[in-house]
Amino acid sequence: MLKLPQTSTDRRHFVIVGVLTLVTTVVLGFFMLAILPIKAQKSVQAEPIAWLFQVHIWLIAFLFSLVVVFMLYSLVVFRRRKNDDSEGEHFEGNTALEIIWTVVPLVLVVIFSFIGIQTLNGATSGGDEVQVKATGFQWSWKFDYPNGVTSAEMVLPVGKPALISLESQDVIHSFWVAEWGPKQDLVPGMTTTLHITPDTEGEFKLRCAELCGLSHWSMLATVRVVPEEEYTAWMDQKMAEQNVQTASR
Amino acid sequence: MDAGGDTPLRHGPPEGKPAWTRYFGVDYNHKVIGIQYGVTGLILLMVGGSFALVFRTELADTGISFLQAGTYNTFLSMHGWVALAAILLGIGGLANYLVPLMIGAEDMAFPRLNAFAYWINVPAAITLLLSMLFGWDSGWTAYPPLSLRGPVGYQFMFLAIFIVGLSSILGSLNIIVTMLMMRPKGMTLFRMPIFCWAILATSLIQLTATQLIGQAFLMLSFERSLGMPFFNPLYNAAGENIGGQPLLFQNLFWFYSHPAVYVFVLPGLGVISELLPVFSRKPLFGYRWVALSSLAIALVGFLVWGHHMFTSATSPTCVWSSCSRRCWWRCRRGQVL
Repeated sequence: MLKLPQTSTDRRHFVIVGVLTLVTTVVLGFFMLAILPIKAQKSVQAEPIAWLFQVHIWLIAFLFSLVVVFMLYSLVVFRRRKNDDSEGEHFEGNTALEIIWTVVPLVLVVIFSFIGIQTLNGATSGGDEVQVKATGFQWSWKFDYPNGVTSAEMVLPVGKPALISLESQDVIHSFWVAEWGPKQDLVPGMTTTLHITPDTEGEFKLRCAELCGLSHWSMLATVRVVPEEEYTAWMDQKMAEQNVQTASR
Repeated sequence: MDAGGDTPLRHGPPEGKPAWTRYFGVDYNHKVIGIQYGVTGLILLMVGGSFALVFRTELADTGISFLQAGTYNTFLSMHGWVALAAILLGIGGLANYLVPLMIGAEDMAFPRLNAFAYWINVPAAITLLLSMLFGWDSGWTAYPPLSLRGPVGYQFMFLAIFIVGLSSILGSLNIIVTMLMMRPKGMTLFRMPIFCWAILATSLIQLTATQLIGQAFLMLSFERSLGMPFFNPLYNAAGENIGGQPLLFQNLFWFYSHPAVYVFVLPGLGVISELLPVFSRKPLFGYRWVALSSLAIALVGFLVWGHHMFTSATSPTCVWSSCSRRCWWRCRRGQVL
């Protein structure tokens, strides 16, 4: 049995708490990463978001452990012993400590805001090799390509930067493909934009992510990410169907 | 009771009536009003909680089980505001009951205003609950244009929240004045119990921020009933928006609703900071820092409402304008208010 230090000023308390904090951090970090439903990243823009998520989870695991381990350790080790009715030591405060635990989180917040802004800039930028206009209305979606093709599903070539401009005809909607990461509202009266570079083929579900009335729950659309050739074939077929004359794509 | 006359301060039960009757009528005693606030808050909390239970039960199984889509949205939206009003009343209860006792004041600075601020909550709560009969479905945020289109239940809700907000403003004004003017000699600000500091910070937020949501809901109400184009876009022949701006509402709304988070949490922190020292028989660690950081929370709380609007069309990079030229570009296109 480990013999605990007997006085409250013993430095060995800090060593024990430090080790316990580290162990808890690691266990908690892996636990949270295992149970949290972080979607697979299927666009270039989703990767920095997922990375930032992981960094945050590790930081949270550490800060939680720091607070809770110190607190539980003190509660257990320095609890009142039998027949000990003496007063506890009175501390009014400690200015140095207060300054440290105000400044350190402040620095962390500033660092994370900077990383956050950088990530946001990355996630909201990209090229516009493919352009689609997505229109939301109660309660469905419509997709228009610059060559005049209109579709009820959105088809994008894999690996090409796409610029999706978003317009709403009635109330606020929100464009969200969970696997792609970023989410962007459609605000009536203005055009908003979303940059996406899908890097995995497949069929995804586009959901409206802003409560938009009675059938908000059913405001879904299919999004297909296909190889370049398939995209061209689909576009040709659509153009033939819809008698679109211009060949510019 | 003529205007300008002294408010009758009455300590003890009303004459000739049983003591419990004072809780069911207009009473100027801060403890009575505190209990009225607290009990009304608890009742509303149970109502709001039941709404939450109803729509969570619906979610237990996929598809529609027993609520229609519209009813589901109404329950979802109602539980938000009912619970919010409940918490505001509960905080009013704690503050009214405890603050005068803690600082050693005889009563609140304006006892009659205090009673008024409580009693307008009763019609407000009834109006809020009546809105259920007509339904409204936007969630508690009531973002236009959706809230401009839905059923007439919205008008009831706007009115109710406007009145609850008025009560919040009057109540907090009363508390701030009490705390600043009615401390006896020797009770300096830094000798006040820490709960009073938490309530002071809370009241400062309530006094200032609540006006923004009151205004926002009033504007929604006028747009619905009188057609004033604040938020709903209108298009001219060239397809340009010459009407309202939906994001204006979001800015007004979150300018209250983010600080409101601290209205709810600060009194709780104050209560804990009172209880822990008592039961561990030690002074509060860093009393002055806790007091000042309560005020700092209130201040910083006003600066961060933009994080509720990350997916709106605003650019959060605006805050860091030097980081991004795109921000300037967006500002010029009128995308940022």
